[in-house]
Amino acid sequence: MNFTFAELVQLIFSGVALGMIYALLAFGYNITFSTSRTLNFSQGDFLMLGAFISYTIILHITGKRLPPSWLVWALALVAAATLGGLLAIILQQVAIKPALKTGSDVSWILATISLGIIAKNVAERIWGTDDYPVRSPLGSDLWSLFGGKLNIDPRELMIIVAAALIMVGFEFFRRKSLLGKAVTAVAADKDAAALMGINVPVVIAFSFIVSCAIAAMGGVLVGPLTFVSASMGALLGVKAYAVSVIGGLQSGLGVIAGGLILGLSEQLTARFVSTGYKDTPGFIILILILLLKPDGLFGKAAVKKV
Amino acid sequence: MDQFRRFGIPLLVLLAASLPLFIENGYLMHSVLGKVCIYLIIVAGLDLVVGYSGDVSAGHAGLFAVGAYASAILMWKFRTPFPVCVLVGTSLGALFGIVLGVPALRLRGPYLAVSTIAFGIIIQTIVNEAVPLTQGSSGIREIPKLEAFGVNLDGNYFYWAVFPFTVIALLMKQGIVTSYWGRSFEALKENPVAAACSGVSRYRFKLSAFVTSAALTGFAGSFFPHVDKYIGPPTFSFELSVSFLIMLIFGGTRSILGNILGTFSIVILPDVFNFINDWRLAIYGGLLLFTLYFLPRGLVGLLINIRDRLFPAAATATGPALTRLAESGGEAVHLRPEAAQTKPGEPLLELKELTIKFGGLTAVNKLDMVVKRGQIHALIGPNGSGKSTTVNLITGIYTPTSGEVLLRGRKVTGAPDKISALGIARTFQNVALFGDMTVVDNVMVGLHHSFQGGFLDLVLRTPRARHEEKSARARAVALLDFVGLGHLAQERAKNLPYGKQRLLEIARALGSDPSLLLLDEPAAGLTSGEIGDMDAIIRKVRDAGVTVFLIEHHMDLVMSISDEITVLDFGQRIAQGTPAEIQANERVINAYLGTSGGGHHLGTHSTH
Repeated sequence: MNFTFAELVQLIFSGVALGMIYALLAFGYNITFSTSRTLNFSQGDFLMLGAFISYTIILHITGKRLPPSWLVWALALVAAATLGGLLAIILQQVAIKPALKTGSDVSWILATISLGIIAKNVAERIWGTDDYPVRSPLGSDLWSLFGGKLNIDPRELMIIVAAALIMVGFEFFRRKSLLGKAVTAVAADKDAAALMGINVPVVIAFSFIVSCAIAAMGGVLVGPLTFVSASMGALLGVKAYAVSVIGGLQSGLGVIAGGLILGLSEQLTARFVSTGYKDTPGFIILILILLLKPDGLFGKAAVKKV
Repeated sequence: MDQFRRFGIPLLVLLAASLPLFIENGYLMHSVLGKVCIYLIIVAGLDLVVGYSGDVSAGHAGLFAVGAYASAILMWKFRTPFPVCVLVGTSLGALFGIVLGVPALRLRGPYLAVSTIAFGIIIQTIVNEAVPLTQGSSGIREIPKLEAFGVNLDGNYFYWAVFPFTVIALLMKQGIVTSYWGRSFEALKENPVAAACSGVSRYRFKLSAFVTSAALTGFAGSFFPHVDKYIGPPTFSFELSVSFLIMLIFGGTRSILGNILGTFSIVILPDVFNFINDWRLAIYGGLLLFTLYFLPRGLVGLLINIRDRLFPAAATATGPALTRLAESGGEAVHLRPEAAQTKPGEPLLELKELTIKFGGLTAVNKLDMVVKRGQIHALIGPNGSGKSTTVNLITGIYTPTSGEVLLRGRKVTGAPDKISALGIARTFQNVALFGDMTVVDNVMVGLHHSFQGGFLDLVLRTPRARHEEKSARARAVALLDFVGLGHLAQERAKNLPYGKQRLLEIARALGSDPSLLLLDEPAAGLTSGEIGDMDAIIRKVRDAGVTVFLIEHHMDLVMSISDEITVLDFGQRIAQGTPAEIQANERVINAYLGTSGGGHHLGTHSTH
């Protein structure tokens, strides 16, 4: 098998880029799970909506031929995040808040799934069922390094950098700002946080806004690499569960490691087994982690007080 | 109502069975009614998981695909007889049920939903990719004719191949949910901790529900290739998994009628409203949301409301259960703690240097204690001194950091349900009943250990299963009489006044025939009259031979009924002795009641 070092580096690079997208979605799962013990089962559809918003904005301002300017791209990113945040308020009001009162897992799981299939249907009606290309501000020509020995896809580089910035940025916000500390407090102990004067429902709503906005931004990042379509979210959202569980549903940045593990194993499967089966490692890893290390590779086993 | 059950239902079943004789329309017959029969098996199974156990599986389309493809491939490639295909499809469904359920159901949280969704999507991908086996996206068309005993069962007659099994599946489900399995599912859904302490293994029963459901789905799947004589990957999508859930929720969970109504309406929906096809998913999603919040019991709930409005008498009619109860009443109750292996006065429960740390906080610190058989032993101490934590350590809710618990000299370890089986029962500081279940069913969950019947006993309703059910019900009523609640047996537990809820908890705990009963603040929140009743019942329990370990703040009660008292402060034992010794103990007075003038609170005379 002719497998060069350069190929290995490129394969790792692609795996990391893919992994960072999963990590971004999983990061969103973990934020809301920590505050409310619930998560948005339609996170992948929020990513899809974000991707379509960026597609529409770039198409209208820049057109099809040229890569968008950084300004247009930034505008698309902000628009996607805003839409994600606004829809999160609906999601939280319709699906999460009533379910938290009844205390049953069944209703919030089903309600978030319902909103996901509604979102997918609406996207199909607005944009159709085709795949659409969308251009990245960095263009799509590979960057040659070391005199052509190593080729790097700038769209992948952008995913890695932007996703890392978003996650580290939120971690920084969570540790330094008052609202961020409130998120940590609610995650640690909801009742105690409420007694300290923290408005727990607002913090939970905030965690959903952040989570969905991040997912929508993920759509803007991944769009240029994969095409944009109404069904693009499903598989990404599902793989992000695996990443979330690898990192530990309660852990913050554990998802980055989880994302890298999954992204790389998918690239390796695609290269050495078959591209058709590149979606299977996620499921296998998910089952194995649940079986062997259910708190995740980085989660702490917490004693639950009765 | 009983008349209807005996004659009306069989008549309706016969009528439904004869449909192919009247209906000529092939599409209606196999693509609609055939599908309804197949999906109904899946929805009935899913009801066990979602309706009874309270878990969500959104990957049943994957299990369905496994059954359908296994059956189709065997028929097409290996000319396997159809019954063998069904057997393989069912077994594979059960196998994947185990693969998914074992990791996910050990944990608390939405893990089953997560792994089943992933499973469903992965199976669809694999079906698309494994071309040599599945013909990928072009699907399998080479489905042979279906015959049994020389009778053609294709086309309009396919219905006859599947209909009997649908009826059997529904009867099977009914057999399961009206048995101790059904009660265990509900108890676990309502209060997992209390269910575990009554001896119900959370993992075992949630897994049983899910694997049964998965096997039924594999079974249903193995019939599916015959519906259209074709299967292809697009059918087995995430949307199909969601449709199964919609059928279940929209029709109404925990009801056979609901399963039928829901499955039928969702299957015919796209045909009736042709124009909605573009908005199908949105309509499904909207319907599910609407049902969740405005019709929590689905179409069946709506029908029941309408019936109750039209015929108010039906709502208050005496159910069959109550008549059965009346027959079984009157048995003299005697508690039966495990045959005496120790004499009265010998140690029953021993705690040795028992310690638990939560992070930096040592909640119980090297606690040594001996509870003697046949006594009432009280554990007292200020709030936060570690009393309830001690009970949680003994019953396996917490695992000690160090030290051990011994019962009759043997080490007590394991999950709460295992410890319950050793003969340790408990009540809870914050009453932990199964609120939506009846009073008598609450006690029957406590009698969990008396049921030995297996899956087949329940499904076939063998004499053994019926006998167990009957004697447990009689025993439950006797225990309710013991605590004075016999007349409330059919009431829902959440409707009882607070004091009676505490008594019900004791009856439930006695159901497991404990040799040691742990009462965590049984008198908290009771009126003084009720405290008197509680006092009498605790003595009665002790006199029947059950050792009582009591946590209580009402000092009058503690001082009057205890044989021995242990005092905790900051997780450490500061005194142990008879009530008189404790009342005279300086350290106790200082720690518990403040130094000056507090002592008289400890005296039993303070209320006289």
